[in-house]
Amino acid sequence: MIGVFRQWLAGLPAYLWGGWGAIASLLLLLAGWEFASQWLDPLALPDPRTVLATLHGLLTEGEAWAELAITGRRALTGFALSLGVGSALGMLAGLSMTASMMARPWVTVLVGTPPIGWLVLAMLWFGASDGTPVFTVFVACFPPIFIGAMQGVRTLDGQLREMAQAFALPPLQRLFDLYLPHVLSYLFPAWITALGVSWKVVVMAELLATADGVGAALAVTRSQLDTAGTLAWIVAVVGALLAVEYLLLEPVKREVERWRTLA
Amino acid sequence: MAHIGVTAPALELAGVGHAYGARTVLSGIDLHLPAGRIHALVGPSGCGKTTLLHLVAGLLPLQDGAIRNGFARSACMFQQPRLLPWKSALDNIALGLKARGVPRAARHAQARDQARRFGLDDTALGQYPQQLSGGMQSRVALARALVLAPDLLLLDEAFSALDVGLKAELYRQLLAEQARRPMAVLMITHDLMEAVRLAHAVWVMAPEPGRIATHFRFDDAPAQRSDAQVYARTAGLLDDATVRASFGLDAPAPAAPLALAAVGGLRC
Repeated sequence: MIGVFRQWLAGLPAYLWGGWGAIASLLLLLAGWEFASQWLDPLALPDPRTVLATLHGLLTEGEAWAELAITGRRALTGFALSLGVGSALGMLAGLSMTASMMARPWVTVLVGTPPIGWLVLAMLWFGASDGTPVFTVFVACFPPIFIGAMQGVRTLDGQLREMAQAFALPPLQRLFDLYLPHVLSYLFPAWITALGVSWKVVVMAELLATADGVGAALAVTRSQLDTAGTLAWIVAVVGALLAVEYLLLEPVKREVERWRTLA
Repeated sequence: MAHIGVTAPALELAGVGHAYGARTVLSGIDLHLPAGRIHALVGPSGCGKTTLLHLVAGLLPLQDGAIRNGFARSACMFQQPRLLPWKSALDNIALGLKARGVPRAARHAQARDQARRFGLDDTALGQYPQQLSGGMQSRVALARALVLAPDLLLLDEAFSALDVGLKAELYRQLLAEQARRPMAVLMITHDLMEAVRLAHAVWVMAPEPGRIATHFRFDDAPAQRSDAQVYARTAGLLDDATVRASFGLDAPAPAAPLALAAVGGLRC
């Protein structure tokens, strides 16, 4: 574990350097925004500098950090629960043909149910507590993770499974040496998708159900017709998501999947 | 079947049969493999050889008959290397040792020893399977089986996809290992020459349903056999009416049939 962390640290500068392309493309988007804002009413679309100044103000006053921390806690709690439960149940379902076939329609039902529907249910069950956004995030993140884990197990090479049986691998070794390394290549993309979902859903849940967090702050800017403030919060949330994905998940994925790139 | 003594473990099959659904693939297989001997099962594709080996390895549940495996440790090598792509060659070789609970340092040391006998250096051992050539991968697969010091080695067409040079090398290594300590080997192959080169006994299977048609003994040491001897014996086997029928070949040419006995083969 410590080894993985050290490799993560060592690989970080080269990885960040490789991010120039992404940064350039983001700056291009910013330029497009600035261009559009020249033609539109500032109430409809303020220019990026105003928005960034607003965000800077929110951050230096400290208000933004507190709200982001609350939102992040809720999103990551729901995401982590989904990650644990969804990965485990998905892998178990993948082991059995019957379970996979039975689980498929359930997951379709879950995917088809709009998050807003879950949110209303959660508000009835959990009220204004943290439980409402966390539950909504959990339910919204569950299907992609579950399906990723199930697909991963189902696609494991039967010849390798047979080999593991012939060499009498005990259950734990089978999990860590045979199933997990293969399933991870299905799980990582699913986790990244789910992480994005978690941030979107948590803000929506907060907007409607709680008195604090980024969503609640957005409700305030909406009622004050504060477009610059709204965009500032959106930039903050997207920035936090990008940071978690590209500074944490992506480098870990590269390290774990190193065997795949060496050929 | 004779009583199995404590001192001489053996593999005994009595009346083994198997069916996939309504299709019978094996019927009435009797086979005896004593310790330290190499026996080959040859037969055409689809005669149930692989099913039989899977039954012996415990990869398939036994339906009919009895298998008594008196050997304490067995290991397998398959036609494909079947290495774990996310583990280094060294960890792949040590896989079976890890399954037995051998601590990390000890299993790596044993795996390294085995690998060195196979001409795998530290660079190769640190690499992932897909970085190795096909020949290296086969060596790793054989090392993974042999490092377990099995007293029964099961080979499932293990050498059939390899070029002649690599085949010859792996034969040498197998025989060298077998000379170092008694190890029974049950190999299945569709290559008669391979069987004749390596085995003390060749069991010829016929298809539909898979059954033992006949078997031959070669009492000399496999390592001592010359190429000429191997060719002559293969030709002798190919002249045998039962063998030809098993492989679906036409009846032998009546002109000078080679006497198998003259080149050291005994029909049992």
